[in-house]
This record gives sequence, C-alpha cells and structure tokens, in this order.
Amino acid sequence: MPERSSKVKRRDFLKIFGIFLLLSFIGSMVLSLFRKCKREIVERERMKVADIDLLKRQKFVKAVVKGEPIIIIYEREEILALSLTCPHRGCVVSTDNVDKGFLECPCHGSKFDLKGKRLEGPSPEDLRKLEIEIEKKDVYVLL
Amino acid sequence: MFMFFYRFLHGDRNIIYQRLIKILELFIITNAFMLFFSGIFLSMWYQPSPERAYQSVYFIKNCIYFGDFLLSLHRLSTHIFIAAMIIHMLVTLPHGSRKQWISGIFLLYTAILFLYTGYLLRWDFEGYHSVKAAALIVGDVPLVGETIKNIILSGDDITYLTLSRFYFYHIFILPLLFFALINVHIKTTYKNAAVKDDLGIIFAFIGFIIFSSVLYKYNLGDEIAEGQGKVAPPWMFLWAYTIDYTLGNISPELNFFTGTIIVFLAIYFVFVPYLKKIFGERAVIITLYVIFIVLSILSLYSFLFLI
Repeated sequence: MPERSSKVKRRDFLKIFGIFLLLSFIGSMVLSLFRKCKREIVERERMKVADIDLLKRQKFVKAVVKGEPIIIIYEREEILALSLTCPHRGCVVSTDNVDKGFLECPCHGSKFDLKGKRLEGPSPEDLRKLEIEIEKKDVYVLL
Repeated sequence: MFMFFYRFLHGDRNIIYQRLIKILELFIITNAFMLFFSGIFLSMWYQPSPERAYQSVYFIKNCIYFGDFLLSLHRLSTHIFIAAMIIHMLVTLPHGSRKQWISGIFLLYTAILFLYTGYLLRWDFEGYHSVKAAALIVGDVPLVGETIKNIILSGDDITYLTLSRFYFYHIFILPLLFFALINVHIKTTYKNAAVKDDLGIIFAFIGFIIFSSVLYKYNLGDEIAEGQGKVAPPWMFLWAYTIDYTLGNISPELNFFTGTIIVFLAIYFVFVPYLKKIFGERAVIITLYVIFIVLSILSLYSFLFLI
C-alpha cells in the first residue's frame, strides 16, 4: 500500500512537472519572436553621391543609398541631403516639382519644401535629413 | 420584406440557387488547387533573397518554358480566388454552423495573407511599397500597432529577414493553416461527396482559369531602386486607401484610424455568429451587407478619383 501511494505521488509530480516543462518550452518559442536589442551599430561609412560641379549645374541629384532613394539639393549656396521616403506610409516622394519649389508624395499627397519641411498632407513629420561631407569636389553621404 | 425575399432565395425549394452556390464552392476549391500546384513549380526557380529575388522572377518570366504562364496563372487566380470567397461569404451568410463561419472567415484571412506575403516575394517596387504601406498602416494602431508591425516585418523595416520569413509563411505555414481550416470548413457540406461526381464542372473551371491566364499578362514592376510613382493597394483594400487618403489629408493626427478600422473589422467578422445570438440573425445580416456596400462605395471612389 505505501509503495502504491508513493508511485501515485511520483506520477502526479511528473505529470505536473512535464506540463510545466512543455509550457515553458512553448513560452520560450513564443518569446523568441521578440527582439532583445536594436540592430548593431555599423561602421560609419560614406558613399559618394555627386560631383559639386554637376550638382551646381543641375540643382539637384538623386541617388540610392543602402536601398533608400535620396535627393541632394543645391539651394542658395547650401547643400542638403534628404531622404525621399515619405514618413506617412513609406512611399517614394516624387521630384517632378523640384523646380517649382516643393516635393510631393504621389501616394497620399503630402507636400514638402526643399528643406524637407512638411507643408501639407498626411505626413506627420518632415523628411529625414542625411549627413553629408564635402571633400574637394565630391559630395559624400554618411551611411 | 427583405427577410422574405432573403428566405425565398435561400429556401430549400430554390434548387437553382443552391446549385449555383455549390458551383461557386467547387470553383473556389479548384482555384485553390491550381494556386497550390502553380506555386510548387514557381518555387522550383524562385530565390528568396533580396539580391536574387527580382532577378529570379524575371528569369521565370522570360527564361523558362511556360514561366510567364505560371506567373500569370498564379497571380490571376489569387485575385479571382479572393473575389469568389467574398461572394461565397455573402451568399452563405444564413447557412452553416458557427464552426463553418469562423473557419470560413479565417480562410479568407489566410487567403489575404497569402496575397500579402506573395506580394513581397517579387521584390519589385510595387510589391515592396505595398507591403510597406500596409505594415505602416497597422503600425499606427494605438497600443498594439508597433508590436504587431515588428512581428510581421521581423523588425522596423523591410529587410532580408522579412523576405525570407514571408517566403516561409507563404510556402509552408499558410498552406498548412489553409488545409487545416478547409478540413473543418467543408466537412459538414461535403461529407459524402466524391470528386468524380463533379469532374465535368471542375475540368470546365480548370479550363476557364487556364484560358484567362493565357490572356492575362503578368507585369513585373521596376526594381525597387528604380521605381517611382503612386502605389495603390490591390482592389480588396481600395476602401482602406480612401479612408487613409481622406483622413490623412484632413489631419495627420487621424493617421491611426485606418489601421484601427481594419483591426476592428477583422475582429468583428469573426464574432458574427455570437452577435447573431445576441442581436438576432436579421440585424447582423443586414449590418454585414451594409458594411459590404459601404466598403464597395469607398473602393469605387478610390478607383475613380485616387488612382
């Protein structure tokens, strides 16, 4: 009789422990969907995007930096690099109206001026600015 | 008056209507199998990495016998599939058990997820930005939006990780889910059915889908770095585009609303059978039809004025 009861207790314990192990296993799988830390910091590199003379002639140059379209604008002796990703829903902002003084997102109509500042439309923010470096005649965008 | 007409249509004596519903169901099943098989052969050549995805789709389109045809079939079938499912949902509203309705709704969601994950796979401008815009819309939902977006995209933005995960969902998880749900969904209706009874219709549908695919031209968009212009969602989400566009232009503060409405509707449809118990069949069915009409009007507005 005493043997049987201890076997039963062992079985119960193993069952509970087994369920606990199973739940923690499933829990660990679910938690593994979540990231713990942000992406690692990449070495600061730079990429040449334009030649100053070309930029001064054309007023603006478009480039693609790490998959993202950007525009480098030369306005009143100032060079500015703006991301062409619309902060609203990520569409590519159109540069068809740069000579009219604004950039417009074709998806939902957000408008930005040539400094990237939001003028009207659904975008909640200005266009992102990128850091640039000018060395002699070359314009570089810092990645 | 409405319910009288409704019951007449759905009554047991209306054999023609019943047959039409069954034909539509057969069409949906045939379509699913064609998608499945064309997908298998596409996966023989597709490369799920950002460096090669676009090129591999281009390769399938131009360098394989019937590659263009397979792509056309796969894409066209998807849209016909979802349209047929929506019509099926509208005409079978009063029938079916709770189990059938809920499994049916999740089947529709699975089909939409198939479309969503498949859109990204070609890694072209249109696919990339459609997926991105939809993820950002969901990301704007208060409280849970950011978390859901990070789970879907495997991160904050679309990367190589998103692509490979979407590919895995598309060819493994979603088909498994689909077959599990279909099993539950058609068990009661097709308990004693045999495929050979309906072979004629099934072959006719296969022929119809093949014929349409031959006529339909598969367009591969520009590469992501080179594309430009407006990106609009596929037809079943044009209504969301209307809402997003209109509200966003009123004020950026309202950007959260589109995603919230989508999540709300997604949850609402699942609970329809329970709402039937509380509010009665008639109210719930009328509400569903009204929602459908409103969404159609919004989609039409989008189609006419925004695209």
